[in-house]
Amino acid sequence: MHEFSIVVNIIDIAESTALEHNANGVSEVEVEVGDASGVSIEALEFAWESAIASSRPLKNTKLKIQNIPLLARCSQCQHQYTATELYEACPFCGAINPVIIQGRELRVKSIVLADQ
Amino acid sequence: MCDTCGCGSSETRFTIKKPGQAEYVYAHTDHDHDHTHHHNHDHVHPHDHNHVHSHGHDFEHLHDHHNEKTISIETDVLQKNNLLAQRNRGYFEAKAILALNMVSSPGSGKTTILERTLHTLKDRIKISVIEGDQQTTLDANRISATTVPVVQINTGSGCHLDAAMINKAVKELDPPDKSLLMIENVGNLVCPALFDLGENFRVVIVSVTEGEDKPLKYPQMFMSSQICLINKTDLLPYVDFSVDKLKEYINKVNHHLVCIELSAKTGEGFDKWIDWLRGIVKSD
Repeated sequence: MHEFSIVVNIIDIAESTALEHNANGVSEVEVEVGDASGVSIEALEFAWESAIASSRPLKNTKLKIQNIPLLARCSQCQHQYTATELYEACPFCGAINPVIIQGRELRVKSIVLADQ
Repeated sequence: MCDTCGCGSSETRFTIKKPGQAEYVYAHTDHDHDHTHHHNHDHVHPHDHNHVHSHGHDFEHLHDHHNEKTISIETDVLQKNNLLAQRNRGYFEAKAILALNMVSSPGSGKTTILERTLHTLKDRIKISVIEGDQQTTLDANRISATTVPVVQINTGSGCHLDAAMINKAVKELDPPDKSLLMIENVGNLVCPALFDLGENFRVVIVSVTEGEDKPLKYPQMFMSSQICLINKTDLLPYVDFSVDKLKEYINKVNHHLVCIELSAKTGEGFDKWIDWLRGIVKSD
């Protein structure tokens, strides 16, 4: 389950941001997770609960996940379409091997710091 | 904090071993140092302005606390790994080392392919090997028997190699200039796909005893690879496996993927793989 490594990376980013801003704690971390990021949101949420238990500034921190749908552009007819699989053929012309233009994101968007 | 179990203790994170020598243990503290430096500089400063203006309001409404402050980060979660992978890549480039990341599910024949490759090429090309497994030095011992320099990374409970492990392992291994570095990842078609090691080429191996639908089931790995070795072709008469169907699925997922059919056991088709390797190595 690589989601644990992912969560540890998110916690590292949040902790160093809290340190940088002299904050006492972090009340929320907002993460963008694309449908094709290779990360399972359920596993991420599960790993989060156990991982923050050992982080002092992140105890009780809420993980807010923003899911980003997979968007593909046909390499033949240039049509844009939402897809459920990375290799989904174009629904308009049937061409395979689309260009993925959205949905691979795995990004810490923002962090809410609690000063008091 | 531990990367694999999340504990706050300073237990071992991963170990690096050379056959016949003492092991090197890398604890959590090694890691903590690295990231503090990277993050402080890279992303916090440029974004300081944005957040106060754009996000300040939202959160005042959402929460009742007076002293909360939203910091816009917009940072790739895997940034730390990606930066370190690029450092590895720069080191390889400077030393004209060609690094291959060999990935597959467990039991598809990565180590046997490596052994035959080393036997065939070790007198013509300088080669070294990094072995990745959760436990044991069994694979490193097999490689060591070919007299090629090898280090073993044991990830403990970790399901993949990462750029930090390679960074440390390369320092132990000290591969020569103008050489080939073959990295055997942990047997897993899911997790290693996300972790760039700094390799030049990713080689995915699938054997004919697995299902033809592997590329559709694990598209991330097949999309991020450049070469696909279809192994155990000597077993084709005995198994219900269609190479054409596999290639059809591969083409759906990544039509740039170069496929080579071979048997590491009998050597059938192996010359194509060796030719490909010799074609990419700048060794003289």
